[in-house]
Amino acid sequence: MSPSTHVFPDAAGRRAPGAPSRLEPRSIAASIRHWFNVWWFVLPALVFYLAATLLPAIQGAAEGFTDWDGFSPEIRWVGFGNFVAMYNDPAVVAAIAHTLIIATSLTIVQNMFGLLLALGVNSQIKTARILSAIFFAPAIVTPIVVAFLWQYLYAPFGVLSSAVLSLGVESPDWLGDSDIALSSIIAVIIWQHSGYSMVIFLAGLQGIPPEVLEAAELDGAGPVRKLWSIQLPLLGPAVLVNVLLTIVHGLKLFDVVWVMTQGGPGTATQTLSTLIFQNAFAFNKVGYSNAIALVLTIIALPVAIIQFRAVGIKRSGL
Amino acid sequence: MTTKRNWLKVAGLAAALLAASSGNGWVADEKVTLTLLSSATAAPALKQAIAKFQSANPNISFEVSVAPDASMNVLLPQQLAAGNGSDIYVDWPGIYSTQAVGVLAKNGYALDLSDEPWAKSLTGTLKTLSGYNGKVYFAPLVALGFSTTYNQTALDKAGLKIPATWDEVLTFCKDARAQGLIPYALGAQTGSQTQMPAMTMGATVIDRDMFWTEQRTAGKSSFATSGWLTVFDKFEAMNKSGCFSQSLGTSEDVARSLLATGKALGFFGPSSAFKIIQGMTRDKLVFTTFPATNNPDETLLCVGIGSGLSIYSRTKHPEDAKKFLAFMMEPENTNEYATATSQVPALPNDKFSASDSATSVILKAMADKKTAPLTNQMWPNPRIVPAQRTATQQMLGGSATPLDVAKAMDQAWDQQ
Repeated sequence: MSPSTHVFPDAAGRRAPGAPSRLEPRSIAASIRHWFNVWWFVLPALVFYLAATLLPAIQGAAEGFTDWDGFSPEIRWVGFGNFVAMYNDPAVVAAIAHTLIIATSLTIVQNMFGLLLALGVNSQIKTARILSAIFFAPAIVTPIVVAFLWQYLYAPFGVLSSAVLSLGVESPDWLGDSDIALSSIIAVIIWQHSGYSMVIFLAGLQGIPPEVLEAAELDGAGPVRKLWSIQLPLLGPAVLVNVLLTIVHGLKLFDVVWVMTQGGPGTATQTLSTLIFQNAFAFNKVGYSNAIALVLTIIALPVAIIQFRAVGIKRSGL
Repeated sequence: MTTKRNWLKVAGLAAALLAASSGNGWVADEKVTLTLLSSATAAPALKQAIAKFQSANPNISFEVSVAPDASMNVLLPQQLAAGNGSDIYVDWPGIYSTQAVGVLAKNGYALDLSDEPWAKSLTGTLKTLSGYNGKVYFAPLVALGFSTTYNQTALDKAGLKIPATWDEVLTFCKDARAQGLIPYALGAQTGSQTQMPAMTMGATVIDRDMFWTEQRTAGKSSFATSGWLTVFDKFEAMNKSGCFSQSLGTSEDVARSLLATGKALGFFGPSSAFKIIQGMTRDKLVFTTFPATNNPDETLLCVGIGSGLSIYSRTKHPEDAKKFLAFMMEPENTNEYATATSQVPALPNDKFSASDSATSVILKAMADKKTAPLTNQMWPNPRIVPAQRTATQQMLGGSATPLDVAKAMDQAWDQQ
């Protein structure tokens, strides 16, 4: 069998037609050599993963049950004390709410903008390629740079405020008003990442066979009908990818919020990530911080499971 | 032949003895590299001092790493706790934050400097702030004032004067707003700025010496039942009188540029910011005390010990590091460092002369005994200041009262 036709088993372990069976006889020495080669290639990455990801994660999770301050050699076990404290901590409750608001807003609004941009760029306009590059450009800028840039744009007497004032209207305090600060931050993230969603949707749109759309046109379907009945259903995988990416992004968001407001004014833009950082490095409550991180992990776990199952479904061709 | 050989032996021995008696013996001075972690604000002046030190000590070189000021409270303790701290690091006095020497010394990350000659000259509050448990771990280089900087050029244009009493402050704010100007630029989006008005007024209203802090430490007072509540009431009164403009959406950088451009008339901040803002404008700037009462004679200037140097307890070059600290603590070098950073020497000496408006105001206040210490440096844990910052932001936004601010700070104080 040539390499080009070799097919790996699917997630359910079913062998593709014509692929070699694992039950075909192989000498013990060859088998040992085979698995030695496999693990030899896997080992460096595995060691790195264990040292840099898995072991620190397990250690952090264990610290969530202590009152360690991150400094002292003494670590005291407090059991579920941190979790009880979190239940009674209004800052944690607010942070969970803000985190979910961000994740939900990004999932709906960012993907909606991304889809609209993709539909526009996928049309017959001559500047489609240039426009897609322009819309995607913010996504390649470092988030911290974007955050600093928009902090200045939002500042009193900044560009945005001056523009609003020139209309004869009093400019809002974009990042200082606790009622709109979170929305101001969400707007920045949507501005930066809509192009990213657009690219994924665009790939999905361009994967739709043109004859399907032509056939629909011949049957009298208009643009809206084509979008609703043909394009959107066939964009299922792209929608799934974008939804999962935006949910995960929203749940773990830290840099933009920290640079722009540090969770303020007060706690109006505090998220779980900023709260974790603040407790660990400003309050010296590393144990409590790790407990909050565990809660964030539990919130993100269903998303990870869905993503894992979605990848498995995709591989099986269902 | 035997005589010639003997003479050669003697000559060889003489040459060896001559070599051994010159310099430091057989081996030249050992080359040492000291690592130093500095904040961005202190770095330029420290590098100047290092260059001068190296000219007298060519065997000691430095690797200086610089971190933004706002990142030091995260970077410094984490490096020390991870075991890869710099030999020398910039830190702050007291025990009120994670980069304060008391916290670092308590956890064993600072070297005991009590036996150093300069350490023996530290007394009273300065000694308390420079150490932990009666020992000295910190070389205090400078002191700085916390008060208000005004744009005199903008004031003259607006026909307004710097207020001298509390009532004049509120009138000043009203008159400035009427002309479309910001009375005081407050960058409350930046955490440290939210403390400035309270610390400035606190010097006059509540904590003329460390007495209240001692009372609070002994459990005999609280923020909510002391003059601190008066301070927060005044802070709120200023906010409601329009003294600040969209302060919660303004960062410290933006606040400084508002003062520099004359859009704002005043700015609450440390005296070290004076030089920075002066570098942004040709307008004349004035640093002065802030009247928290209606009796100008009661007004005190809040003066705190600024950043200094400590030595990592696990350094491999303790003697060389101590040598550098001793060099920095010499009056001539401390004066140069203070001048470069628009501050005054922490240990006063008669060779220092003011280099700008800010330092001359501080020196005069010190000479007239019209100063009060920055008391939050002795607050007992690093959670009180963040609690103050968060609650103050909520007060400025209208969702908390001055009493809420005081209670939040008391709650954080009592969490040990």
